[in-house]
Amino acid sequence: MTYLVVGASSGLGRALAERFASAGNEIILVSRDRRDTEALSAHLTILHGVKVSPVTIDLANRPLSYAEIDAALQAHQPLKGVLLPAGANDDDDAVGLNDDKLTYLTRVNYLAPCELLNRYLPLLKDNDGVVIGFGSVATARGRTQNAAYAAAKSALQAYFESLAHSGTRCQFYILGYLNTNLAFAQDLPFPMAAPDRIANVVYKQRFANGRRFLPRPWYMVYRIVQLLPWFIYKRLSF
Amino acid sequence: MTNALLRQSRFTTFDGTLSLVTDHQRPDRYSHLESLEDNRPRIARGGGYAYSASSFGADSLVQEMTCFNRFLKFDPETLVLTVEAGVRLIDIMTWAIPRHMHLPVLPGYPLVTVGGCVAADVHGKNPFKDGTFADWVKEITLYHPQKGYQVCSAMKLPELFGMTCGGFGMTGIITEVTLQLAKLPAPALAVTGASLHSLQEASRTLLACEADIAYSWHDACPGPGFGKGIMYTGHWAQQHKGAADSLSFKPMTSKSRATLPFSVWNGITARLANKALLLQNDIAKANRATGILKASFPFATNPYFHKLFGKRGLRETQFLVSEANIERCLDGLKELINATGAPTMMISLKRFRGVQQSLSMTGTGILVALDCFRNARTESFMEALDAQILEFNAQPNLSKDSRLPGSIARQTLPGLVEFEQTLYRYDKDRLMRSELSERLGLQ
Repeated sequence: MTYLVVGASSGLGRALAERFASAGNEIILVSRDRRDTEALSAHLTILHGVKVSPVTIDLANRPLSYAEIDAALQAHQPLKGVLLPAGANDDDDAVGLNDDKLTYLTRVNYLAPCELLNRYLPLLKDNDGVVIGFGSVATARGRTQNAAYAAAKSALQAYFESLAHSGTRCQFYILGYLNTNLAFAQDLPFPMAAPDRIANVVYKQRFANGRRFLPRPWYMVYRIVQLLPWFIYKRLSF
Repeated sequence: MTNALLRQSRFTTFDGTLSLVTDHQRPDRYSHLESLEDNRPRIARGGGYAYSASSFGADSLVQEMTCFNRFLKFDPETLVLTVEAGVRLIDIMTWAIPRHMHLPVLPGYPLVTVGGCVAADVHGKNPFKDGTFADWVKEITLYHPQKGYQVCSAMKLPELFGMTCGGFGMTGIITEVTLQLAKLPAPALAVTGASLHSLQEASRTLLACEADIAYSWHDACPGPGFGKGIMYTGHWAQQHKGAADSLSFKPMTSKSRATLPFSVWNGITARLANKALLLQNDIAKANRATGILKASFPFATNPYFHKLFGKRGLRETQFLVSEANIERCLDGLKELINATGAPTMMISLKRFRGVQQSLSMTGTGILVALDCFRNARTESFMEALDAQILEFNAQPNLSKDSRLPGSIARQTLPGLVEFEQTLYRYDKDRLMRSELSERLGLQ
């Protein structure tokens, strides 16, 4: 079976590609820099002996160009799943963000994943496939930082709920801090989970439906933040 | 442009004697590696297991290459493997052994990266037979912000290739390394530990030894027990009963090595531990068949030697002495240690064969490795040892000594002057900087 991993060059996307390939699945790797996906493609083929195709797509572009993915799909086994760990944030992301950055964050975190998903949904349904999306604990409540990012991820979360409601087999993971490069440069108050650990959980539950928090303790943090009275919440700085 | 994603991190040498805070980037994709300003001083870092500060320095950004850890190409006919610089030795070995291949030159810790092995031109358990790491490198891809990516080998840009092997990262950021693997002669190693009475006996035994693994360990505490030791020799073996080839260990870093707030090692505990090791070797079976991983990475499963030096750390020095000078050097060393009551704990000897180049400790002779716990006498002893290195025309190992003065290195490393001239010609701005490059006067 073949899995399409969007945002596969590093972090969770790379960990997911490695985990799914290690189980003998064929992989189509999507990222905006072919050098990264070519290197990962070679790595997975040498280590696991599976067929892997690198594909270059920049999610910030509109319209998305599907030609490379379509060509890769022709050369692979039937598509069994689409994984969407792609995402981006920005240090300047706050209310009042300039139009270009607002558009970029909205496209990469919400619009492009949905467009890509819509494109391959009929194929997935034919193969009884699964769609796996990834959100963030930043969506618990709007705050000063990550305004556009949290809004876009909230929209993606809502879209996945609609997908589930329409009968598509799908999962949505709300992720806490991960030890990826996005977190590397930040001074975070909680421990970070290893991407390969998260990827392992996702792989094991790949055919389940529903919404989950990873790592699980983030559910409590998420709920506490949501339940905080406004007069307390608005005084918090994080 | 990709966000550079930097943070400030504290870096400490593995011996725990030098530490500083500087900018830190951990690129995980090519655009990220290229995201810094072209004129920003930087230095690459691998696993962080060098005893000297060759992978960090004041006002130099550290580019940690551990996320560049993919296997890129493999030719099963020629056993040539291309990997990214951040691939660790354990990754190669756990992949290669089931495919009946191995990398013959392996330093003692499995999490050392391939890029680090090239930069320090490390050695393994028998440099006389296997050479140093550079002898197994066929091609290197380097990134320099002002020159882009350059591929070098013995045939293509040979000068750059020669400078990069043992160049401690001063020629650029190593991104890819092509290695020549070897066919695995057998699935296990049979290691023998024979008792030794002196360093001289070890040196003579090494000069006559033709084993696949050959090195000695000695009690270096001053006094009557000085020099007693064990000669470890190993041969490939077809069977290793009860010694499955797997390695289970908890990773040790410069930080976790220094967890203890004090050093357990002192004159008394070092003597006791050494005597216990000698006794254990006498009692244990003479011929111990073991898995390749365990034999290759002895410090993975036994981290206590390093950890018990605690936060205060240790001093290690290594130097290569010619076969003609080794007996006199060992006599001088014994005299110096006994006369000064030096805080020395252990000495190890290995035989080398090769030709010195760049800043690498290579050549023909006997390597003397010496570990000290740190007390009031340590620094003066190390200075006295520097004088011996000069006297016996020995060649120091820059990756193992975090305090070796640049003046001593200049007098003892034959390739340093040529390295300096070529380096300045290649990189006028000298962008790749570390504490080591500063200490050597290569800024």
